[in-house]
Amino acid sequence: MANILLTNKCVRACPYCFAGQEMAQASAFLSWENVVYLADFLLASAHSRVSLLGGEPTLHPQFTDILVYLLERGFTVTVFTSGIMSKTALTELAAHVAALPPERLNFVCNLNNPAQTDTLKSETHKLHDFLAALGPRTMPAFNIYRSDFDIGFIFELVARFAMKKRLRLGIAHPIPGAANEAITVADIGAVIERLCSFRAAFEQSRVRPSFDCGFPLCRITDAELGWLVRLTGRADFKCTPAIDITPDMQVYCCFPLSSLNRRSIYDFDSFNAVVAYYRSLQERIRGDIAGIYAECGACVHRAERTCAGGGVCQLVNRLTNENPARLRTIENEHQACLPQ
Amino acid sequence: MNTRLVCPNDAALIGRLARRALCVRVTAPQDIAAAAALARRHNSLVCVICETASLEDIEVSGDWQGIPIALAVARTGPFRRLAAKLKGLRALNLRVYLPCTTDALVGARLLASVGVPVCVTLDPAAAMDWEALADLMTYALLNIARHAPIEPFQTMADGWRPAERGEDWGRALFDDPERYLHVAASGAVALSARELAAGEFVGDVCELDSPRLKQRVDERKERWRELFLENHFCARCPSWRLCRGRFSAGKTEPDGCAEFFGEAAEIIERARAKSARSPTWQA
Repeated sequence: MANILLTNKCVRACPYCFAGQEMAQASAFLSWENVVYLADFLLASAHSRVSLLGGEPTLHPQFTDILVYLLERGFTVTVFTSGIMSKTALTELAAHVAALPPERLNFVCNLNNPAQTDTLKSETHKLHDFLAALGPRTMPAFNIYRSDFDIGFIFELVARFAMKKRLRLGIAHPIPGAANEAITVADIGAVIERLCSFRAAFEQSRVRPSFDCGFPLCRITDAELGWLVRLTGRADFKCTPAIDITPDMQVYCCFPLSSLNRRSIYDFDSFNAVVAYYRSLQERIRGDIAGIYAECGACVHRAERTCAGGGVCQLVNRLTNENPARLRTIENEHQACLPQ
Repeated sequence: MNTRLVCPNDAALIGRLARRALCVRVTAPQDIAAAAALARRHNSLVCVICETASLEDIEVSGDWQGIPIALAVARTGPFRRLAAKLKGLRALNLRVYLPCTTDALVGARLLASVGVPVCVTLDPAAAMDWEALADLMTYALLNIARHAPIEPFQTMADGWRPAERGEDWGRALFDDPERYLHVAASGAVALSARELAAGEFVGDVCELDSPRLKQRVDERKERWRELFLENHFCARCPSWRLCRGRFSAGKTEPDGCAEFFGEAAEIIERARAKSARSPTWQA
């Protein structure tokens, strides 16, 4: 799916932010001309699903207009938001999406635990206003950046605001060259153990956990896996390229890899070519390092692609720290794969 | 002369213009249906031209079905307010005319992309964002996805003859005296909307078929020759064949128009080449 970054601005300062380098750039907002171009580009490539991200996408001055436009063009839209927006913007947004079928538009709301992450009271009020208006369209999301994380508050929010009963869980990955708080490879086992300690809350609230990329299958016991599969019906341990398109029409694969083989969207004839380019880059990196653990190379689950061997961003981070010259070589070699 | 007459919605005037092809001007959208009915009583209706402030304020009426409408608006308004009207607009025989302001050019692109035909009014008297205009023309003729036509670029492309005199694309803007004459309520005739507004008339409706009026039209069509006699920079401009000095008035040097029309010719050639590479399949 294409992730369109409407702006690089955000009102929060999450300690784990993996988009920090993007946010540090001068303010940028996607122009209408580029919105139309991207809509055409994606539709011509037979892609009718799109995600709107930021920064905080709702900060774009024409956010509601862009959203309504993309819906009019036939897209199914997912908006990744903090839920923190002005009352006027929220009222306007809620009014324009009220009549839409739920499958056409949904929100993924990135939640921080106020007890563990600095959060202004006013932000919490705004978040609650957002959830009161759009809770049933909203899936909760949580980024794990410390191994003693607490997600108890999310179950309360889900019940209170009738949110979707699926919790998107992501591991905060270290960004090469950045100082974001993150989970190290060594901590992943503890993170999974901690997550499973919320088993009763998941079951009681009937909320299903869903893993973003980077969770390795081998750090989950058979008992935990059984529970997960029974609760969710499936469990994914994959890592596929998420294509991010910036307000100035640059394209890269995932925030943590934003400096790697960054291109202009105009270099490609179709969105499928973009995906193929970055999938091939990921394969190239995985050809050098099989996975985040030494045993990934000989792992049957990795060979059978049941597990990706951790997120490719974790592999890039390792290469950056241990063999930056090799990473540059991979980048340069991949440059030649650009469609002519 | 088989000319179409652009005239106000004036019963007395329209009564004088029996059996003519009319474009009737109204200023209120609620007058469109009545104006069309009046014109069709004794004339052939080309279209109703409605000039109003903003597209967002227009209530699309079911009475407009079957009426060709040129809806001239100053702006489109926010897209969220247009969305509910789009289905109605697309169901009509309607083209939205927009000025060449930066916002309106964006509005034109948005409307075309959701299937509403548009036309941007290249007005020699207005300041132009030539770069944005070239960008819109690229979108109009070379874009990767289907969209509604964007005039006058389509007419420009259809009439472009690189080695000979092409057709006047001004007709997409009702600005071609061979095709459109502009009539005041008094019956006075002008060769363009601008001249009508300035009170610069060339005759009266009672002279419509007269050789004198035809001569005035022919003179206007050949007025470009004066630019050569004056050694105007337009006469030496490589983009001449496409613009024919339309933007020459009051200028002592090109202001971006030459670059735009040069690029426009390239865009048209590229669009033709693209079209030739993917011919329609035939049995």
